[in-house]
Amino acid sequence: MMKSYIWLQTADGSIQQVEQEVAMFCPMICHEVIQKGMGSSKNYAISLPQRVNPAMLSLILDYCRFHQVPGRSNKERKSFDEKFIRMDTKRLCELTSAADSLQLKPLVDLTSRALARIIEGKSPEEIREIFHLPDDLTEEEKLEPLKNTTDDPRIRLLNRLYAKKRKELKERQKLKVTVSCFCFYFLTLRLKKSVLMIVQLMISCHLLMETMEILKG
Amino acid sequence: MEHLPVEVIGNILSHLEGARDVVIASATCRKWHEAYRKHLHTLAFNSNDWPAYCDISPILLEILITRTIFQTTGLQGLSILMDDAGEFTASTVIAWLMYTRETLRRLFYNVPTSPNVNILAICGRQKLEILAVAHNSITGVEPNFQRFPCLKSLSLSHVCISALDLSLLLTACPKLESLELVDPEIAISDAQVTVELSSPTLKSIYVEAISLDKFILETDSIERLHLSDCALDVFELIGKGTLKYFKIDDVSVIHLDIAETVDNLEVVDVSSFTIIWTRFYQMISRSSKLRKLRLWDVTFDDYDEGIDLETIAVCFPQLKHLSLCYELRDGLMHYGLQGSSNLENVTVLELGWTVINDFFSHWVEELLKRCPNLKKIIIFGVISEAKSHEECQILAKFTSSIVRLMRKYMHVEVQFEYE
Repeated sequence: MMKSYIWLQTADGSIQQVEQEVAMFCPMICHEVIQKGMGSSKNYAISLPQRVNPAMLSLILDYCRFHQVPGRSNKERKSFDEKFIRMDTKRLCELTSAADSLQLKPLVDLTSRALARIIEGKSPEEIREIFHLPDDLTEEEKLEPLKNTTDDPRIRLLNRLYAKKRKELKERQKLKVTVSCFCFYFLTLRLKKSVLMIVQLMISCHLLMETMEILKG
Repeated sequence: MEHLPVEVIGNILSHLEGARDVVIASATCRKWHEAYRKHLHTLAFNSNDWPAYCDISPILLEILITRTIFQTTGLQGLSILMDDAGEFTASTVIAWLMYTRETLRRLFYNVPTSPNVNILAICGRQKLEILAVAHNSITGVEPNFQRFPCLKSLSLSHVCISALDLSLLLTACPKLESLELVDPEIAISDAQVTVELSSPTLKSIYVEAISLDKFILETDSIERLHLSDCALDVFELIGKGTLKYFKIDDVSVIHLDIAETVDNLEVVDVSSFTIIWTRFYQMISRSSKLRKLRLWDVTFDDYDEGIDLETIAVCFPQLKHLSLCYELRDGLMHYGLQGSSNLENVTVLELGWTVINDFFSHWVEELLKRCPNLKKIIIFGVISEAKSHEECQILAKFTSSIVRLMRKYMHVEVQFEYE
């Protein structure tokens, strides 16, 4: 039986042919063949996205070639995946990018898990160094991540409610302070009066007692 | 990395799962921060991920979780599994659930909340597919108002629920495929503790640490049934012969009835159970497709004559894997070895002893004769702490007889597992 092939063209212009069942494992290629009828000959080769260079394409096709065979056990597939994923970080990123542009979700998940394992347990500086990330967050953004949340309507509502509540609390606090000041002043006023009264009372009592003593004695 | 779209970065951060790692990664650069804010789909706060979680008080933990969740958008998987974290306040938990409920597909939550949160009322009618709740109560189930239209897997551990609510809950999940019940506290309304569950779509059930008078399961699609550490008076399974895998361990059941459903049974695994062989055999006699039979650590009634290989050989011609471990008494063994039918398809044999005696090696020999196509035999033994002189002698005798025996069966792989 004649094997059918699909023609693929990478961004650098090189064209290659791939067995149909292997290439059709990629949803993007599948779509191009079925919906647009491309890939049947050299002139109508499917143009692959820019993120897929020949090296990455060869890796992806190896992956597809293994997994498109229906009879494999889960153990075999897992074992293949674990060996397949052993490569340096830069290639892993390139592979993730290429697989994503071809919409090959299982491979994207596999590479993402591997990248996550690399990121785990590291500090931001270490992560930046490994992946060559720009240090473009301001100090404020790094320390106060909650500040830039004003574009979500629910967050804005919450903020408004909290702002309202905070205002209320503040008002209540102010009120409390004024009331307590007033009370204290009032009390001391009363106290002063009563102190005066008491003092007067004491003096009068004392006078009374002295008078009594004199009367007795 | 520069060429990766921000959604893919979000996917990578989601595979990190542990919230602490995610937040640290989001503090590296603007793009990753955006990926965390807008494209994160899975987040987990598990006490196993970061040992310092147990040093933080519940209130601070609530604030930490709130701040992290409220910065994300479109979260699909949320896992809050904090063992020994104390209690969370209901209002905070409700806030988390309300914020995420429109997109949430997987929820794992095991912290007691006070006062109790009605998770069903908050998460019902949304996209939830997997729900695992522990250490909370479920009350007031109303299937007319609360439904889980997409729920496939439900797990309830140490949950306080009434028998009626449990059966109503199952009717509120029209697509449920897997149910796990661990140590539930079933609130009872009348004297008899009865649980009757019915679900046309349920495929797999696991029940652990439950103690009831009556447990009735009615499922037309059931494939897996596993009971562990249960004390039941009556257990009935009503179905349409779809059951493939049946396992019970450490269960005490007075009346066990799965007779209608056994036509397609492939695996039967019974351990730590008191068996009445004739009755048990009658129950599974129609399972001609049985591939694996395991009767481990089973005890027989005093009047029972025990397992006989003749019946097993005749009724289960497709048996590939046979595991037997029970106390060998002289009468039992002789009865069991009557007849001459061979177990033609058995390729793996597992034999074990709990207390070694002289009969064991003879039994192994007889069984090897009966399995002409055997490829592997595994011997399981229990060695007591205090090894008496007599026991050591018996073990030595056994070892030499096995060596002699296996010389006749050189093609059979032999393995030993002692504990």
